[in-house]
Amino acid sequence: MKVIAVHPDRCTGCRTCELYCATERGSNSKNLLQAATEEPLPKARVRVEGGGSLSFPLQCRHCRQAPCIDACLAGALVRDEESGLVVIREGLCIGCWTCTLFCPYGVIFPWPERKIALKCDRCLYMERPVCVDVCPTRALEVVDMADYDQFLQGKGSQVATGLAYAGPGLLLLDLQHPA
Amino acid sequence: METIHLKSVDPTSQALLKSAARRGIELSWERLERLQPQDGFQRLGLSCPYGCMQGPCRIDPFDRGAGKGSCGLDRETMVAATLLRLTLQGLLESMERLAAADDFPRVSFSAPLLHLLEQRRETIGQTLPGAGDLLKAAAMLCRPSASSEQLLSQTLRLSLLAIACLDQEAAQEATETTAAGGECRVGYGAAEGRPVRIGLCGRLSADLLSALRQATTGESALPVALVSLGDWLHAGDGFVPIISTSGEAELPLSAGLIHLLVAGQGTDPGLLALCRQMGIPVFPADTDCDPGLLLDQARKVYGASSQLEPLPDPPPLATGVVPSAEGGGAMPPTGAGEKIAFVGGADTPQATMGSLPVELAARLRDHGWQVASWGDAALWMVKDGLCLPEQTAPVTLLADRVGPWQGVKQLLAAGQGDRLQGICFTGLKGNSDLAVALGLACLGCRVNVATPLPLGGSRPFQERLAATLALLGGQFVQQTEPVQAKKMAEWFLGA
Repeated sequence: MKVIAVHPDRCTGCRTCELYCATERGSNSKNLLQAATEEPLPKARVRVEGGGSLSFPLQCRHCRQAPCIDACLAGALVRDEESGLVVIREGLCIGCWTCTLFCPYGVIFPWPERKIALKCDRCLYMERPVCVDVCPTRALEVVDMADYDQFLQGKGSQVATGLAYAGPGLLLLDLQHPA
Repeated sequence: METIHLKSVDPTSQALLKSAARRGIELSWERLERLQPQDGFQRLGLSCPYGCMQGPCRIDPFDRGAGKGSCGLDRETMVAATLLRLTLQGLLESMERLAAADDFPRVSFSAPLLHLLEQRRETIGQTLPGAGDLLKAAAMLCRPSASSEQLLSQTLRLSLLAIACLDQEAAQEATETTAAGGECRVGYGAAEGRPVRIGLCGRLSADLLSALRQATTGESALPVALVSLGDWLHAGDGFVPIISTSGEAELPLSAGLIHLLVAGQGTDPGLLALCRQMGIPVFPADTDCDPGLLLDQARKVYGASSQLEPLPDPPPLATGVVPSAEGGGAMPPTGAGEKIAFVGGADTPQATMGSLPVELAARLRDHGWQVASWGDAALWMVKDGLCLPEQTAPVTLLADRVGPWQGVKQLLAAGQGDRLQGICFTGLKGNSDLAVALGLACLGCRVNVATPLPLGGSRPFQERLAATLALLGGQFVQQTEPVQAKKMAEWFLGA
C-alpha cells in the first residue's frame, strides 16, 4: 500500500497543498483562478496544522484498523481491495459525520454544502497525488508501506547522526566505529 | 526534447532550443518549469500588498484558513489594493520615460484625450486625474483604510494618467526626427552578410545607438552588425534589425550568434548569466566607452569562437514597415465599415511563443477583419509574412508601446472609432502595459489580456470592475489560463 509520508522538517506551512488539493479535487473548473470564485467553495482534503516553526500537512493516514470504517453507519467508508486505501463512496454517504468524530487524526471533514464527509483518497485514480506534486519544498512524498521499514531506518539514522554531532556533551554514539 | 514544439512556433527557434538542450544550457523555459507550482495566493491577489510588515498576511480563498488579514483587511479589498499597487507601479514606469534628468514629469492631456475624459467625468470624478492622484494612491497603500470602491476608483484614474503619459511620450517622439516609422528586418537572418554581431538589449540612449551605428557603417574586412534582441530600437530611417522576439532573446545568445552584448536598462539577469556562461562580453549601456573598442572586442570573440548551431540557408528573414503615425498612415485606408482588431504586446513563456498572435491574426483576417499589431506580437506577424504588402489584408504595424493608444486616437480622429472591435494584449512586459490596458478600457475599448492577472481571489471585485468599466463603455477581460487563438477569436467576433 502506498501512502503519503511527510517530512515535517521541510514543511514551511505555505498551504500550497491545500490550495491545489481544493482546486484539483474539489472544484468544477480545476483552475485555481476560477475555483476561488466557485460556489460552493471547493474544500481541501489536506490540512496544514500548526504554524510558525512547526507546521504539518495532515491527511488521512489510511489506518490499518480504521475506526472510521467501523463507525460509518451507511457503509460508505470502505477499504479499497486493490490499493488498501480507505475510500469514501460519496453516493452512499448520508452526511451524519460520525466518522469525523471517530477519526483519531481529525482528518475527515464535514462538507455541509454537499452533505457528505470529505477525506483524502491519496488521489487514487491519478498518477500522483496533487499535494505531493505541488509541494514546493518536497515535504510530501509517496512511500510504499513495504518500504516503510527502510524509510524509518533512514529517519533513525538521520536522528542518530544529528545527535552524535550535536555537540561534545551529546556525543553518545560512535557511528564511525560501531560496536 | 519532445516538447520543443510547444515552446515556440518558429522552426529555427525549435532547432536552437534542441541544440541548447543537448549542450545542457538552461533557458527561461526551464527556469519557469522549476518555478512551478506558482504561489497560489499571489496568483489570486490574496497576498497582502500593503507594506506594513506586520504579516505577511494572506487570505485563504477556500475559507479554510485566514479570512482576513491581521489588520482586518478582507478578500475583496486585498484584491483591489493589489490592482492599485500594480497600476501605480505601471504609471510610475510610464512617467519615468517622460522624465527629463532630475525633473519630475508634468502630465498634461491633449485635446482628444481631454474630450474623452470630459465624457466620463461622472464616473471617474469631476476633477481631472493629476499628479495629486499619485500621492493619494500612495497614501491609500500606506494603511488599508480605503474601501475596495475607493481603491478601484483610484486605480482607474491612475490608468487614465498612464494613457496621458503615453500620449505625451508619443507627442515628444513626434517632435524628434527619429519618430517616423520605418523598415524593420526581423528574423535570425537579420544580420546576414555581417558575420560579427553585437546584440542590443533594453533601453539604450539615442547617443549610444547613433555612435554604434556610425562605428559599424563603412567597409571592413570583418563587418559588424547591430542586432536587437526583441526591442524596437529606432535608428536613422528605420529600426535596428531584430534577430528574435524578447521572449526568445536567450536563443541567439545560446547559439553563439551574438559576440558582444550591449545591455541597457531592463535587461534580464538571465541574459547576463547566459553571456557569462557562453563567454560573451557584456557592455553596460550606462557606461562610457569608445564604440571602436567594442567592435574590436566583438571581432576578437568572433575569431575565438564558432557558431554552435548552423542556421538554415538562407537564414529566415522577413521585413515589415511601421508607417509614420503622424502622417496619419498607421491605420489602413479601407472602407469605413471594415472591422479592426488590435492584437499586440509581449511574449509570455506560459504559452507557445508566437502561436496566439499568428493564429489569431489569421483567423480574424479570414473573417475579413483588419489587424494591427505592436511589440513582440508584431514581430511574430512579420516573421510569418502577415505584413507583406502582397497579402490581401496585410497586418498594420503600430509603434511599440504607444501604438495601441495612437491607433485608437487616429480612429477616433477619423470618426471611425466604431471600427475597432477590441484590443488583445498577448502578454504584458511590465506594469505599464497593465496600466495602459486598463486605461484603454476606461476610454471605452474592449480589452482582453491573454495572461492571468492577480484578480481571481474576489468575484465581487471583478464584478465591480466590470460594472464600472461598462459605465465608461469599456470592457476588461483577463484570462485564467493561457488562451487559445480560437477562444480569443470568438471573443473578438462576439463583439
